Amino acid sequence: MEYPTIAQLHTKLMNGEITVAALVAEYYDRAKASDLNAFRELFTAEDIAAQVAIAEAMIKNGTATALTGIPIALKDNILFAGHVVSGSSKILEHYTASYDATAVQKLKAAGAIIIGRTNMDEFAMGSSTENSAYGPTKNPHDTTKVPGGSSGGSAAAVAAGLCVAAFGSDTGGSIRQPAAFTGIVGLLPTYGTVSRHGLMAMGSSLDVIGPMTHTTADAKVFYDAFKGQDIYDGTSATAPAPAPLKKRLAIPKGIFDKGGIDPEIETNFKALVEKFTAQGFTIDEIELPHFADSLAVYYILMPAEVSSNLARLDGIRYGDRAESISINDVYGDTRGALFGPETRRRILLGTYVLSHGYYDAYYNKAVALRATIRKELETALENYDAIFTPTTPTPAFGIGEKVNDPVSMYLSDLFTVPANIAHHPAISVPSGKSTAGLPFGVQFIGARFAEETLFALGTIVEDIR
Amino acid sequence: MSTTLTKEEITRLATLSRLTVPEAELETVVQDVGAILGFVDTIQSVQLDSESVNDSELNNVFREDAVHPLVAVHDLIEAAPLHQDHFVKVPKVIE
Repeated sequence: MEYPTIAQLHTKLMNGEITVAALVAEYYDRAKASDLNAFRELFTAEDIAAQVAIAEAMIKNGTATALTGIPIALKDNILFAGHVVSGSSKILEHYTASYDATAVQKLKAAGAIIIGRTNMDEFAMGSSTENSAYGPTKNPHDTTKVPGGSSGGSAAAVAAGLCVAAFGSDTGGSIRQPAAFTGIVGLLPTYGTVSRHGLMAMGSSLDVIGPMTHTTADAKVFYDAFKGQDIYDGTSATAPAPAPLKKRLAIPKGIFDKGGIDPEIETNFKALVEKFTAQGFTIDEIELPHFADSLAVYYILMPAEVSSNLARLDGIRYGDRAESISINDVYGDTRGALFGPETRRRILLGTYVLSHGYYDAYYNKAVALRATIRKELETALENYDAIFTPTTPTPAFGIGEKVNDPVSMYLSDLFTVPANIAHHPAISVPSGKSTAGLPFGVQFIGARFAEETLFALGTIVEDIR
Repeated sequence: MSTTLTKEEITRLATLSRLTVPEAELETVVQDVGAILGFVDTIQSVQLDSESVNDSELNNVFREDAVHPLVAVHDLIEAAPLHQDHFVKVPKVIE
């Protein structure tokens, strides 16, 4: 089913063809009736009505923006003052945000309507939403399949028309992989272009908030509304001016040689390569010797950061707590009982790679390799607009299929992780469907701050796919 | 491929990370964490030249030493599961 774009809805709102209240009601009612488990919570009717009144006033007094009156969903790890935000974890089931994330504050100022928060893997750790403490989200294209993760609730909500656009967060592929699995557009912006203030920290050197939308044009409009440097995030940055398109794409040599890539995805990707060539693009296979090492680097650096970031969830400062007597038992029992298995695994793994005797072999080696991967991508992208790959090796897999095999679950992030490791932006755009009707996505990894190039390439895919 | 970890090692890591792992789950955790370590061990065989260790992107970020009020302290204390007046309540720390 085709849903309208932000620009189409904006026009209708501005010329009075539809009211904000009617538009929001249409999406809200659909979200309420949905059984995909995409939303953790739809905000109350009173709450929505107050937001609608502000948007209606902005339209009336001429201060409306491109997002005024547009129904948006938040991932359940982004703070919205006065609203519960749980990271889809038991430990924060009753935690209410004390302040707005910078990205949320910008949406509010733009007059967008925030209708609810979406399901995700606990604290954004996972590739399927099966690690949510509140059950998996279903893929709208086939409800026996996962929607991907960790931003699977946001992806399913957009794909099923339960909101116009949604926030995701991407630490190793958590926006792009679910976007590919559900047939929508997902952007990992350059690290630093979006403030992380008010985003629950997972891997602080990797986390980025980004847009999940129906089209590339929507992704740009949405992203432009919440990007920007912020005094509350010392790693945030202002982007330099965009560069013109070179019409040159690079494919990492040998990505189809190692096996593990679904044959239909390979065929779909190669057909698109032909179509880009027909558009006057030069497409080269290039050597990126450490591209494939990114996943191992990621599964050292990320758990290390997770183990320290999640130390703050101790039963004392936020959320729920175990009723134990001694302080150490309160810590241990709260965390042991209220964190899910994947979160516990990653904390233990992070503690291991940072512990005495293993630190050099794992953490320091991974940091060095990260610098090598970054340099490799940076050098390659001096001559090309983007590194071009399928977004995922396979289409959406079955619910329950990979839950007992963490390593096989991790492999679905094979192509998405390098961009996070190197702090480069990347976009996933729908490129077709399997014979079984499951969506495919292709990914472009751009030079740092080259989001405009990625939008241009995404638009071309939408025209020629 | 998997790295062999013992139950004792996992129990020690659990203590370090203040995370009670139930006895019944210990065996699965030992296997899962071992499998992941086996997977990431591939980086040990990657040869790197020494200069690549320098991460040129990392630099200091300075700001004015000015106060930007963000959220009332009261609201943050309210977020704690146990609190009284203006204090977070914790179990007795010294026996």
